[in-house]
Amino acid sequence: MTSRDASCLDAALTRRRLLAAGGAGAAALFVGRLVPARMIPSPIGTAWAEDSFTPPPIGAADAKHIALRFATSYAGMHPMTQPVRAIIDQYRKDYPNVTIAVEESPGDAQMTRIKLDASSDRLPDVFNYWRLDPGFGLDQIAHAGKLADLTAWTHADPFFAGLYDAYSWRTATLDGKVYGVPINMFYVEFLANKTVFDRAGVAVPTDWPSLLAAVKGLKAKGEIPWAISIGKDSEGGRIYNAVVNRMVGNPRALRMHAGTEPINVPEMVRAAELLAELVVGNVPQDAIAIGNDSVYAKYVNNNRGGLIMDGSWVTPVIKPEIQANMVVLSFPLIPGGTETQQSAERDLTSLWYVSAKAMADADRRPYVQELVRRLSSRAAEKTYAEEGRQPIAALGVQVDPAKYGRLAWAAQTQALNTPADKWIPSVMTPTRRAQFEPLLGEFLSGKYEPKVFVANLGQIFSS
Amino acid sequence: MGTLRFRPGIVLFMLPAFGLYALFFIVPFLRTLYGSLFDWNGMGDARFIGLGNYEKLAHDALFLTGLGRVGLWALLAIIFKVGTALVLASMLRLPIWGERFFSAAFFVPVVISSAAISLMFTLLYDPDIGLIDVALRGLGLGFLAHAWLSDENLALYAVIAVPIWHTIGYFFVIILAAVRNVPAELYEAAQIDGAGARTTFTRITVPALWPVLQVCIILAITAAVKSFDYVFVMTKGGPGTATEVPATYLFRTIFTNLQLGYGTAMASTIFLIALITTLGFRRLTNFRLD
Repeated sequence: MTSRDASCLDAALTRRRLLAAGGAGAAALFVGRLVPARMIPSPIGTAWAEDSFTPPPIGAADAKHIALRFATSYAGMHPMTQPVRAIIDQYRKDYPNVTIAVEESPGDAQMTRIKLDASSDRLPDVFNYWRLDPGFGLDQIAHAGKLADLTAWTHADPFFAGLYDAYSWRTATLDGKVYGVPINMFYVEFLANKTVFDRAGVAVPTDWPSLLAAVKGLKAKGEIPWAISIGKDSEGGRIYNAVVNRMVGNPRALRMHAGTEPINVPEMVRAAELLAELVVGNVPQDAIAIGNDSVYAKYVNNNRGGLIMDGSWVTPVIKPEIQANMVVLSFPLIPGGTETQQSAERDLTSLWYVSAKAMADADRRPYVQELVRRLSSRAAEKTYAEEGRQPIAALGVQVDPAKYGRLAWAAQTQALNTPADKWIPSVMTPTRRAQFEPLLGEFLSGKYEPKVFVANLGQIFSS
Repeated sequence: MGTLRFRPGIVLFMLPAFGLYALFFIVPFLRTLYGSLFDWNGMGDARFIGLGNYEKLAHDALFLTGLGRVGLWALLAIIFKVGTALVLASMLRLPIWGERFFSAAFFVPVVISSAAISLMFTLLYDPDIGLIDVALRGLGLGFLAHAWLSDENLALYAVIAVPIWHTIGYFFVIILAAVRNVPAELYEAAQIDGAGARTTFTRITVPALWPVLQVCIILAITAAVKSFDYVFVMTKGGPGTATEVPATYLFRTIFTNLQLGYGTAMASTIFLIALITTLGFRRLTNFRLD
């Protein structure tokens, strides 16, 4: 072998080594991209190996630029808008390298935009949304793998230890995986406007017969007994839930509306009869056409309705001077009904969710996690309660009742001290819910006889 | 006079426009047609079901009722929208005092967005503070006051009245331009022959404007078939489903129920119906009115 040959061989070997090393590196990178090398087994699902759950360093302006999309329904006049904006603003100051695009879609518009974003595979990095119940459609997005599985993180990060009770975590879980971080709850408030009752000389009801009598008494005096909307997804549905729960019990009502038990049964017909007696003809004349917001503007805040039944998020919408003369009632038990103990409809309402893409991105993940931590911290939840006047999901938060408001505090105290009924539409599929809500509105406006209404329910929930 | 000669090089200049048209119309349209053959929620795996969605649609009472409603909508739009615009344009055929003011006044609503107009009418229809009921009560006609959007027998008509009022000006401008192009000699001849205003209108104006009226009628029909915004803002399809039209039902099917396959079948069917109606109308009315 000549020296030239030897040098050629050396060169060839070097090239081969380089190629081999490069190939190995590329393979490692490739395999790395395929995830398993970056994950370690964990007793609960999987955890990211490099995650220490410590927040990224604050004020690191020279850190890599991170762009996040934050989609929220807390917009406009919603009482949660300011507390959430304050958290985002502080986050921007602390992390100048992070750009957060805040995308606001008020109310139910958030539902449409998130579904649309999921369909076009551009789910926001962090967003608030309703529960994972079929009625809201997020379960389909989770099943499609577009929602981040937060099981490992929420179990391993000490931040979440003791933050929520078991029920909240169960509600944030689908098929054994935690997908959401709870924000707030709802409970149904049943309120009476004493100004209206006093004006009509009618006593505030305490039981079922006196509730029926009060409604009739208010009507006879020219007052509007119920200041509610009966359109789609309206307060009318709250009364339906209450009467049906009292009559057949919440577990059975849920089975009926999930289509796993017949709904066209005599008890439901009786419930429909009572509902008709209570509501039909006792609501504003435009109750089926106006939205829930309009009800507060036109009737509640003008002392034009005796009774209100709505989700707890509405208390901030009622003017303080109107609230001052309102009292919290318990929706009465129905003689002969299944429920023999007072219960209240309540559940977790909103949760923070993270897109699977954001969680899978090692650069963005720590910033996403920190954002969610800030949005769900006890300090944040305190502002949600005291400034946003929302019933919060976090445990161990000291809320000042004076800031929360007398009426809301009284309603919450009552709701938390009674067994919880689950919201009936939560078990409906979106298609069934879309059929159910107009039907209920028509029934409450007097279009159908109770038997016909229940027969129609039978068609919806047996198909 | 010679005919225009086709030069192949022109095709090159047409390509960018055709490319954009293909990208934004043909490709999405074909994808919509393709998607309608699947059971799909917009995510995950789609299941091929052939014409299953169309079969389901043929038995969907809400969709079929909605089609009937847009049929009524189109009919009323032709009668009142095109008809009123024709009458107004005929009145302004010859210069009259205040002509510019009236032309502007008829056209002004067109420049306002349909969402704003719908919100405005939601308030006008309000039984407590709405101008319509307040005016009726003020005129001693309180018995006619109504919760217009809450009554399932009236809500659809209350909704249809809004786009008719809103877009009369648009048709008015089109017809006015056409009516002023009708040769004055025709009217003079009719006058000499002793024709009255009605005969002049039916024998001169309408036949002379027929091609323009055809276009206006087709626009009125397609607008009715596509109607979404007015219903969505004013009633969301309610009370119950009394004002549900195919476009709002389609929106709910896709974006609320996440039934993308079924929704695209609905969209394809609406397109097909609009196309057949338009072509059918053209074929049936493609005659010369002498």
